[in-house]
Amino acid sequence: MSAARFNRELDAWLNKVKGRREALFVNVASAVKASVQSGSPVTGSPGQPVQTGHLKGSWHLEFESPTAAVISTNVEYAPPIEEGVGPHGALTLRSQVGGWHSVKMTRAGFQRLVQHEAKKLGAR
Amino acid sequence: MIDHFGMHLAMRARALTLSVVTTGSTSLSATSTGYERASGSFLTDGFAPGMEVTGTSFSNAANNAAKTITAVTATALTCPGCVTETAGTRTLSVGLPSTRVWENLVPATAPTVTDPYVLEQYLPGPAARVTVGSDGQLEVEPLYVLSIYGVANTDVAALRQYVDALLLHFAPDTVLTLSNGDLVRVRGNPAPFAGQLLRREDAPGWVVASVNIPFRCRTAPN
Repeated sequence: MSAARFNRELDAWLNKVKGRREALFVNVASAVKASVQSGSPVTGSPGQPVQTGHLKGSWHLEFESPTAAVISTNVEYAPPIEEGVGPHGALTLRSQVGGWHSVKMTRAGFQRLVQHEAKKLGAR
Repeated sequence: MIDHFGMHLAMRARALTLSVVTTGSTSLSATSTGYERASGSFLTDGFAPGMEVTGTSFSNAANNAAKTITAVTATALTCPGCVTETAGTRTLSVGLPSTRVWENLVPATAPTVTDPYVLEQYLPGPAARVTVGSDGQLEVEPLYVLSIYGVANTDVAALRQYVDALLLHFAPDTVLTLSNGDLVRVRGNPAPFAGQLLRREDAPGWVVASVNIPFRCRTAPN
């Protein structure tokens, strides 16, 4: 193999890796939001309980840079819902969907989420 | 096989051996308002208002019973329920609160707003086959959540020390052995982490902080 051809192939491989890395980052960020918002079999997160849908709909994903994303909500009662604790003690789940601890389950399952998304990319 | 029951009980058993603060064996006396010592310091040992303290080796059972500290100085703990007893070699210690709300079980003693208590939740988490073949090992990642309900308006020392002690007690790589021989290990990434303090509104009320302990267990499928 000539040096020129080697360089071309190396550049092509690097571009492919860069593209896959960027795609993985976007996909993982989206999967994290989905895990917190709607639950995930990969992380075991139950997703947000739903009464009016206000909290579930409030979660949003923002890309601060090519390598940083923030998944957040500005709903005041999001922390008590996460912990399952309300103003008068432990909350009773009345929603047919979702549950408590979605954020911490997503956090605990983050590595699995990355592996899952990487596997999906690698299959293409 | 996956043994969530065994894992849950093993985690609970580990929590029961928590030690937050202790005087060690030392000369202690009791008065009608609490405990006293002639040497050493309760402050240096880490005792704080809002902690539940129990005695060991007092002659009077009331002085060994669990009670909540309301004030601390270097030489005195103020807590209700003590009876006068002259100095002797004893121990005062703080561990897991004596009122424990285990999952799906009404506690023997109902929580009261003047005393801390603990509530547990076991989240089984996802499972996956991680080695090849129909006999491939299963890996499960449960999460054990202990919520310490601290007495409101007692500052942060008590709750923070309960939380810190639990994080240390369930440090990464802590291994619990199940009766079937499986090993359940505290994960290091993520490592155990604490939640923020959340206040309950019913006066005087509690403030709750949770400790979230991620585990991992690999087991045969059957």
